[in-house]
Amino acid sequence: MRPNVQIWFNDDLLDLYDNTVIAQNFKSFDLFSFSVSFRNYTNSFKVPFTENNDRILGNIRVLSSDDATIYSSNTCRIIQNGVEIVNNGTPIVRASDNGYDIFVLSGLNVFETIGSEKLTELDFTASGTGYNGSSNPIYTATTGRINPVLNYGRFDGADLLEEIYIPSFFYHSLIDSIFDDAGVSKSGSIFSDNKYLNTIIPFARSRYAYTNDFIDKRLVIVEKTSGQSISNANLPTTNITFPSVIYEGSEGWWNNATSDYTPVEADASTGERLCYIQVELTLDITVTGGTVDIIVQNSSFPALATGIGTSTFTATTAANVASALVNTSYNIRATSASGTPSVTVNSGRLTITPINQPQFGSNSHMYYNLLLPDMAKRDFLKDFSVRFGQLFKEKDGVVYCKSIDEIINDKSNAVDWTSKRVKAPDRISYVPSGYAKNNFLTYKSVDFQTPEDFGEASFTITNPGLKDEVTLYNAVSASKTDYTGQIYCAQVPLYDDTESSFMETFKFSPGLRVLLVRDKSSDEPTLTANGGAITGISSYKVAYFHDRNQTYSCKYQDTIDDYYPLLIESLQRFKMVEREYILTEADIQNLDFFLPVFDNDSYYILNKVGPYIPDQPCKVQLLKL
Amino acid sequence: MSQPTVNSRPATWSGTSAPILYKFTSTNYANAGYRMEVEIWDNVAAAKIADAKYYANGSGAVTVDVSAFLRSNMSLDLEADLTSGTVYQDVNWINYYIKYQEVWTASSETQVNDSANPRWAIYGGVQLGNANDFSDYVDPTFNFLTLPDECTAIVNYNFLFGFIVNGANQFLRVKRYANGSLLNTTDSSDFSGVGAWIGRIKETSTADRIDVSIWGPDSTELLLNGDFALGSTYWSNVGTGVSWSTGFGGPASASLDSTTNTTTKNYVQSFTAQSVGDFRFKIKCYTDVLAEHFNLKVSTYTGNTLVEDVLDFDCTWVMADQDANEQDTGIITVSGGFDRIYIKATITTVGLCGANFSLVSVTDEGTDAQLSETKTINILEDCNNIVMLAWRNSLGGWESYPFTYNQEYTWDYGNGKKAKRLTLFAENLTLTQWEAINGLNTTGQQYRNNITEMTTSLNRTSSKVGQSVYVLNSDGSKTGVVVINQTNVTQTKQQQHSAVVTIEYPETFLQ
Repeated sequence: MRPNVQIWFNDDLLDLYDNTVIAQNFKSFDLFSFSVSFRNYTNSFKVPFTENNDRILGNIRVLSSDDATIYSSNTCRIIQNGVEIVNNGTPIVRASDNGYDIFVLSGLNVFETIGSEKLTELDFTASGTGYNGSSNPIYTATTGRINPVLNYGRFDGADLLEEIYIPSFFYHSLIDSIFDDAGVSKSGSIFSDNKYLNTIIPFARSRYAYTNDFIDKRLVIVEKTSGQSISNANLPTTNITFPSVIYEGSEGWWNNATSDYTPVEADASTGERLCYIQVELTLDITVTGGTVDIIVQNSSFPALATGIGTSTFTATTAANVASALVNTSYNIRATSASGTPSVTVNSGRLTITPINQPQFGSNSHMYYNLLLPDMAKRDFLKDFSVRFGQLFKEKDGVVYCKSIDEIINDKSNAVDWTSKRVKAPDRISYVPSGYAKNNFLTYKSVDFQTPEDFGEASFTITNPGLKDEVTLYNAVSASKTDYTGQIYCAQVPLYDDTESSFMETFKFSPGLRVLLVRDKSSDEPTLTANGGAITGISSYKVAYFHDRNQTYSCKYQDTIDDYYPLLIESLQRFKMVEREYILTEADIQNLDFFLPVFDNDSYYILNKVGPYIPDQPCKVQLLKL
Repeated sequence: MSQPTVNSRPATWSGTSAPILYKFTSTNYANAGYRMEVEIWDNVAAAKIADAKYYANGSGAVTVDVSAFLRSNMSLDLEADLTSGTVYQDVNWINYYIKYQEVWTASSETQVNDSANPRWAIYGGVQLGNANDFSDYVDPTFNFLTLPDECTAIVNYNFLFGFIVNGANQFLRVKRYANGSLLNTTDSSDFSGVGAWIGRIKETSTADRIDVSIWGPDSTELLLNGDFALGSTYWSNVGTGVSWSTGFGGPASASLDSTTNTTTKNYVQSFTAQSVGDFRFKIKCYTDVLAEHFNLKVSTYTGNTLVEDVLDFDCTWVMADQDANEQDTGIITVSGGFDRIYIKATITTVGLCGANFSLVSVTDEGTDAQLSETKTINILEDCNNIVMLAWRNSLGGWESYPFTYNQEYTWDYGNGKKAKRLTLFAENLTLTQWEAINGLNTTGQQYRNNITEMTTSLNRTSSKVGQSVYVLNSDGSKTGVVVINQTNVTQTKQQQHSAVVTIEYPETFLQ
């Protein structure tokens, strides 16, 4: 029968050669290496240089073509004999010589969408998750940002000092934001799991500062090279103009028509503080009939220069004296200091630099996403996968999460392939790759308070074919949990006890850590913060790493016990079976790595399927349960 | 900074088989990061079809080749329904223009929209030795896009040919002959627009030769006494018809009251005596109620003596409101000299009502003349194993040839399919016919046509890039085939030539 193969590139149907064979390979979420680099893929196939294909692919083989189609994110559907084998693939046009070389990735597209984005790129604006905003501490939040009781090195059990403004973030909120920003929804029992919902990421940056990108987007460098005369009468109302823009950040805070610097933040209210700004001004000025002061109009800046006569000068404000207020315009003017001066500004250069240290306290607007760990989103998802034993599957814009043990347990929904098997001797592998006799999940040790072996967990596999040991995951840091006053809380040292005030640059770099939060117990005290400026904190959550009084712990041994027992049991008598099955297009369309497969007398987990070519035996790799 | 100088644009009609060039000279080319960003637009669809970047040479010359982008927005398919009709607009051409903008690192020029200079391109090409210019195939030279000097068709089979229409009011004239005597002349309706067109003839009777040619207004327009508008003083109201006054909707109009549903207007214009010939008039009319009948009668006079009633046509326009302008063109062929034209216009409404009508204009559209070459098609008798092929030639037009000799019949089982193959033989060819038939052998790659739904309109399972070949069946249906390349050899000194062609039919769907 003529295999009817259709390959849709977005909404267009590609022309194919007579003998085009699309072999589809399907993989389970890399079961044995805890990796998140996972995708299904087809073989590389060629499509001809037809007018139709040229048009669809933007005539990209014409070197003058500036079409961006193949370099953008495109979707691909593959239909074989009327059955959609791939419904949300990513076509990759790899090369062309006497046809276009294409292959199609599919499956878990969310990682492709996320790419190399970092957590700091999460959309925390109102149009995203809405976490950016006030700096006021939130003591009892269950989502987004929280300011829990946590010993950063100076907490004395009574006053949380200025460190109360240092935010922590709920782990589940970051996962939600990652998926939201990627345009997918999510499904799985983990998303209502109590331990997951109470897991937080404490502040992890080495400085209490936004990323340098914050400065680049708001920095302005402007200059003037021709004269501007301002009469005495006009001095109070006339801006010194800087018509040439040398550099302007992408936030566009400079208005070149009026020479105003106007901080804008769509989610903040007029007058809210965004950050400090520092002004540096060089002027060549001719003053007649008196002297002038050079000021930053409409701000609390001190005068840049006072009593200026004809001169060339450079003035710089301090970095932390005046703030950028939302929707407030800042401009440079000359005001009369003595006499009745008139001025001619011959030339000048103005640099306005935002300071990337967030301002906390009332009426401040925070960019919390810029305070997140300097970590790739996909690495965070990898931590999620390992920490909660989750595998991923994506279909129709939904990312499904399921633990390996949930899959193993789901035998009642197993797919029966008994009748589809091609009878032949099994090829069986008895040694699991990626594992060892002793398999460790460990935390990094980055501070002197946390014992080096703290948080280390392992499981063993009795198999002489394995190497002695392997560390399966070691990406985040552990935290000591100890009594501070009457509160048993986590310690994430930013300071030792020698610092008397909050410092932007911490003495210790906390690194990425994962903690849990619990409610305040009845015998824990009411606290103050910010040196007593905030009082009566009687309701709060406490961050901890491991607490024998609590149900959940961040220790990896709990992870192994909670999420991996059935997998570890399967690994003890490891049998990876490779067989061939005659699968229909419908079997492929319904292929679900989240369900066990039943064949004759045993249950298996699918590991690999393919290459699948209709009406040909298809290789399948199965883990015997 | 200044805009680049456009040194040359493509010819009005050019072929995508060769570069289609805009040439510029830039004064900004030395700026860092200089490039010219070009957008190519489909002028009919009003849609951008491509973005491209071009760079200047060391002296500021920028050459923009748009041929590939145009070609990818055309099709070589034969989409015409060959069971009816005589002429069909083809799908292998495009009306386009460009927008261009010089951009460099520090600045840019404003974008220039060159839509005032539209151009046309056809999927085909002239051969070496010529500029990429199809001017030989449009008015006034006007050759057909069909190569052989002498064509051959078969009774009861369609025969296709191609041509370009480049002006208004042009039409196809078909003259049928038997034993050298003209049987009749048939004109198609006017072509509905500029573009590449397909012509079809199908002889079902006794003609043994058919001549086809394109006709249209010649460049010398018949001018009567200056202003030909109805409202001009050159027209006078005569006779007994209802006197229409200037007013509603145009220069002369009439109102019906509720007791009548017909109004008539007579016009006459005198002018210098005219000779015999064809004169083309466009009559435009509108109304504010539903009209069911508009009759126009045109008569020529010499003095007060009727020469002849040259036109008497009824239009069945259904005009519902004033905005629904209706217009039609009547051709009057006068056989004797005349110096007056009378126009009698009668409008009848659907029922009795108060209504307004207006005869807006009678426009002299000039005389008709033959614009193109005459293509002669010899008609042969039907026989029982005819394979009538029609195919795109290198010009983008259509060739047809009936293969009437024996055919070799095999099946091909390659590439996972089963397909019927016929090897066709042609004898007694002229050299131009032999060359045209060898145009069936092309070098494009073969690919499989997508079949998303099985319908009766599907007519091929495989195609070749740059090739479009069909077997024309006697019932008007067509079957898409591909040609398996085969080398033919002939001797130019021979008077008669022979050729062999192998075609592969659509594959047979098997279990």
